[in-house]
Amino acid sequence: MLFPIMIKRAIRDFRANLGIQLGTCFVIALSVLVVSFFSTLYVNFLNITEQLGTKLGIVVYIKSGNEDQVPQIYQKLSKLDGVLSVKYISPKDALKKLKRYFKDEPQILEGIKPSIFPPSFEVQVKQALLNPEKLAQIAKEISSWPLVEKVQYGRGWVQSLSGISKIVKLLLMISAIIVLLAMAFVVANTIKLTLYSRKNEIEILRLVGATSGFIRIPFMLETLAQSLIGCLIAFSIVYLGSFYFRNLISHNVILASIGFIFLPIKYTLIITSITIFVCLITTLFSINRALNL
Amino acid sequence: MLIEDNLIVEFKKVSKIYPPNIPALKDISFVITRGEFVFLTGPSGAGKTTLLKLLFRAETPSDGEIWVDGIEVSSISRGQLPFLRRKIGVVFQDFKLLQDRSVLENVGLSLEIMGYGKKQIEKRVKQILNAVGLKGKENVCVAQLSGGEQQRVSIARAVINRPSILLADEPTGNLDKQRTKEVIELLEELNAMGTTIILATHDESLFKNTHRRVLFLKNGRMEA
Repeated sequence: MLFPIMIKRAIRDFRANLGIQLGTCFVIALSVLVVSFFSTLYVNFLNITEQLGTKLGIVVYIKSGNEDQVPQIYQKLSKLDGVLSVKYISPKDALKKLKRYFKDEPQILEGIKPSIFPPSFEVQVKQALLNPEKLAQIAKEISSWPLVEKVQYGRGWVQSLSGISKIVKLLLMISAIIVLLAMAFVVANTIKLTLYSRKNEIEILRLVGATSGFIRIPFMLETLAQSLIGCLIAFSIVYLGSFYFRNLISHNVILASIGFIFLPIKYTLIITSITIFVCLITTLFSINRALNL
Repeated sequence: MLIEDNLIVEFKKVSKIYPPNIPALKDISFVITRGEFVFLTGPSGAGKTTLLKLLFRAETPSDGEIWVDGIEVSSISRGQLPFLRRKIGVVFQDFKLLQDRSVLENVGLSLEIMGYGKKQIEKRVKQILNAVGLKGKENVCVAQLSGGEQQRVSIARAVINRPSILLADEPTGNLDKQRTKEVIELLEELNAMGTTIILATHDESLFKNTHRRVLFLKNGRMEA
């Protein structure tokens, strides 16, 4: 019975202090926008590095004369934990690849027979950049197999890209924390202003026997509304901006081939949840302090 | 526990010292029976407001016990405090009304916090406004009312949920002679209906020709 009354009070107070409330929504939207922008950058950076990382797969050379073992080795490689795909490159395929590479100077490969190339496999590993240790572990395991001549992979590249990816992630987290703290500060100040403007009402409410919850909950509901409106504004801008940017890069062959990823729903939900949590905690803290509860 | 069931207030050797070391009340003991109308008087700074504040737990005593309607006031938890306050109506000299709200919203506040519905609130507010002589004023903004009318609104808010006791702290302090008379008559009527009233005032004319009991405070002590 009391909760509908609290909701009505929250709506009435929201309308009565519309200026302050919308100001807070705007600040929350701005904060969420900054975090979302960096998150979108991060997921796209991750996408690019992943694409590169996948291309930087493991090449497994098989000892010559063991072509009959290819199906078994293929099966064994496919079953390895973390392996995304396995592709067999026969000596003939290897020569064809080389010919394509030297198509302007075919004389270089004159007289070369496919048999000089060892049979090989191209192994792609899942999320190689996020987990370079896994890539190294798989490479090490394969190299220990008796029929394997040699294992090659871009260790340096993978480690560099992985390092950059970690730095970007760290920067994103630091910026998110700073922005969220700034947001909490603004929300706390808004609550203080609102509490101050309604000091008289709160005093009367306490006097006539309103419980702490009855005073506190409408404020919490207002903050919840502010957070949701702020997130809605921010994500609308992010998604509209993303559409615009995707259209923009669709005209550029290189950028279009890389592709552009929208901020995933998972990220949207996480950012919204964190925003609501931070705003509610800040509000609760401010009210308790102001009311000396 | 109160010894007699008809006792509604009991002070047992109550003292109040404000920090750093300012004594406001010293060793106060008295009882008030249910349905009584008691005047609390004394010069400014005698401790009248402090005594009332102790009753509705706006302050806690430094020493002693205070019993209100069977509850030891200073020992109750924060969570129980609102329920104590619902048993006590309080009227102030400055009315403590929400000036930008209607009479209905102000008076209905005491019921709203208890979860009453809109229709029930409207019905009860109309009844109480009739009783305090403000019939038909429920939708008027409080700021448009005279001082006397505002004090009536304040009294209506204090008694709408039928509290056991009504505390009035200088309720006529801001009113002229005629409005003062009206407010006192209203309080007399409420008392006749069974509400216990403690009225703090420094205005001797309010109790000079009355048979009511008068508690006199001077320098934080109760005098005979």
